[in-house]
Amino acid sequence: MKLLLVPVFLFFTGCSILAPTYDNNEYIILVDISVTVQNINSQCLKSDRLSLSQKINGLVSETQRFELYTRHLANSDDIHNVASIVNKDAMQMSKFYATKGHNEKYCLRKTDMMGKKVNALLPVLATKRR
Amino acid sequence: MNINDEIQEFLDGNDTVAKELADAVYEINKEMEAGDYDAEVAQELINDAVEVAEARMEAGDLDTKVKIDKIVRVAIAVLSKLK
Repeated sequence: MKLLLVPVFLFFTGCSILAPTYDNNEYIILVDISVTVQNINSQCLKSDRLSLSQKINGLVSETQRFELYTRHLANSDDIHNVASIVNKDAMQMSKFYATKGHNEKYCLRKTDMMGKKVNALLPVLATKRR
Repeated sequence: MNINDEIQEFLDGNDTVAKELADAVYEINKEMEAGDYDAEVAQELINDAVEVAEARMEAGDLDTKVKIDKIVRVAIAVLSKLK
C-alpha cells in the first residue's frame, strides 16, 4: 500500500511544481505584453511583410486580448492597470495612423515609451506579488 | 528663466529619471516645432513620458518626486506655448 502511495505523491508533487502559480501567470502576461511592444518597436519600420497599418492593428488586437484576459484574473488590479495602459497607448497609435497616416517619429517614440512603461512596472508588480 | 532654460536645467542635472523626462519633453517640443505633430499629439506623447517617469518612481526612485512635479509643469508650459 505504501509503495502505491509513492507514485501518487510524486505525481501531485510534480503537478504542483509544474503548474504555474497565479503570480507566474500575471508575470507571463506582462512579459508577453512587453515582448509584443518591443517586437512592434523593433520591426515597426523594418519588415516588408506587413504594412504599418497591419502592425498597429495587430498590436491593438493583441493588447485588447491581454486586457480581456486579465479581467478574468482575481486579485489582478495591478496587472489589469498595466494592460489598460498599454491598450490605451495602442488605441492612440491606431487612431493617429487612421487619421494622420504614417509618421515614423511618432510610431517609434510611442512604442518606445510603451515598452519603457511596461518594463518599469514589471519589477513593481513582481515585488508586490511576493 | 524661459521654458528651454528650465528644461536645460534638468538635462544638465544628475537625476536620471528627471533627466530622461526632460530629454523626452525637449525632443517632443523640437519635433512639434518642426511640424511633425500638432499640439494634441505632442500632449499625448508628453503624457506618455510622464507616465514612464511615474512608473519608474513607483519602482523605487521616489526621491525625484519634487523634480518630476516641476518638469511636468514645464511640459504643460511647453504645450500651452505652442497651442
